[in-house]
Amino acid sequence: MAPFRRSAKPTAATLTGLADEDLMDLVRDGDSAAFSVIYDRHSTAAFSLAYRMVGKRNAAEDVVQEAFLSLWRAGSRYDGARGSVRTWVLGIVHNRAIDALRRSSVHDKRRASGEGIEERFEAPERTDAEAARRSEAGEVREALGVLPPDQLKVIELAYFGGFTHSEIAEMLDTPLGTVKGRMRLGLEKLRGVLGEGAAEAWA
Amino acid sequence: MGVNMDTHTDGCGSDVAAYALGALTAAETRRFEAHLETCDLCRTDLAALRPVVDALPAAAEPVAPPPALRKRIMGVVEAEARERRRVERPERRSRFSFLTMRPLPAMAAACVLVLAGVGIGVAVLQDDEAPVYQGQCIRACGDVEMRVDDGHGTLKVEGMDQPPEGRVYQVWTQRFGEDPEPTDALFTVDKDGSASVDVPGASDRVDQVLVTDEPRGGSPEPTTAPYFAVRMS
Repeated sequence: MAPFRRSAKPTAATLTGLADEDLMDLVRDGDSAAFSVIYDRHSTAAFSLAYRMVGKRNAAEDVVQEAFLSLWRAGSRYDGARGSVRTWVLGIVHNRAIDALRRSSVHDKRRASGEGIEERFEAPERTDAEAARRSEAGEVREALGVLPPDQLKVIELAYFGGFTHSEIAEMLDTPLGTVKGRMRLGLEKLRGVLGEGAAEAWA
Repeated sequence: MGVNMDTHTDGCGSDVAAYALGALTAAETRRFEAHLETCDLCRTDLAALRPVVDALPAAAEPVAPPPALRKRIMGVVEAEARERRRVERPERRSRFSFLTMRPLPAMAAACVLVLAGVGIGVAVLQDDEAPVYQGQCIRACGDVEMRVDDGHGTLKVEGMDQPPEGRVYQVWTQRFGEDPEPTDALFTVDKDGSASVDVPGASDRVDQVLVTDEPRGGSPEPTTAPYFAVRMS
């Protein structure tokens, strides 16, 4: 006898055609297939950020797992009016990676310079969306390259290194006020380079 | 630039960038978030800087996550989705309309004739006074009996075939006029076709017990027609 169908649920093919926000509606209802599409779309960005921050594959996997499970369990807290699903996911990854870095001892903390990343893989996906993202990535890297080195340093140490402003001040032997000022000036400058509209496109 | 830098009277503006970058300690973050509630200037500043910070992850070198990670995460997610369906059971419809005497599809009608022919299950009182009910065949027949002892049910089957490849038998309890309720009782049979299964919730509030085959792990709602029913009222 043919199995009963629960309801007219979207098939896998129609799910991949849905926008993130629509998928999140299904995720809120406990739809694991919709969740898997969200995962497939954003896991490379999530893993890249986590790996850049914590510097170890195992630790990055833990961060990404925690972040996506929290998305799955707390999907009801996603508010489309406040930003894209991608930004939300990456925000969770960023917070979890900071937690992981701050849990580990100060000496274990990896410096945000990128040292120690031996394995780099290109994302396997070659869709238009991925291509667009690569060009965005190029723009962001370019914009970072325009920053004066002392501003770039504090932004990298803070955002990718997970260090607090006081830790950075100590590390660089620089007054706290100066560190905060550089963060602010650096972000302002990035904003100018990326252009308000461009920056918001990623939000 | 449109972002305020100098007009905060209490110097709070200097923390906006650090906050946006995640560079405050947990305690500082809480204090700053409390401050945000009351400071329009900081909220405006933050709204201007946030999109810049949100663009930063794009600067990380792309690194593909290992396929094993997807597998691990989806394993947890699918298990929780099943559990959630089991607990919430939204939009329940009668899957067993032929057992609740609604209009019948042809095949189900045949099943009801079988049921009617067998008649009502008879409770046989044994020496220990625990009632025993005989099963009634719907799709496949073995010898089936259900013993209820002080609210605790035990289902015994003999001469049943193995469930189809990749599936298990699942026990359901049902009150007439309602949909079957899933139980955690999942089973297969040994090589002689026998099994003895504890059936939670088989109290006197249950009118009958049903068995279907379901995917491993069970289902929140029956997906196949029952093999047999044990009527207890």
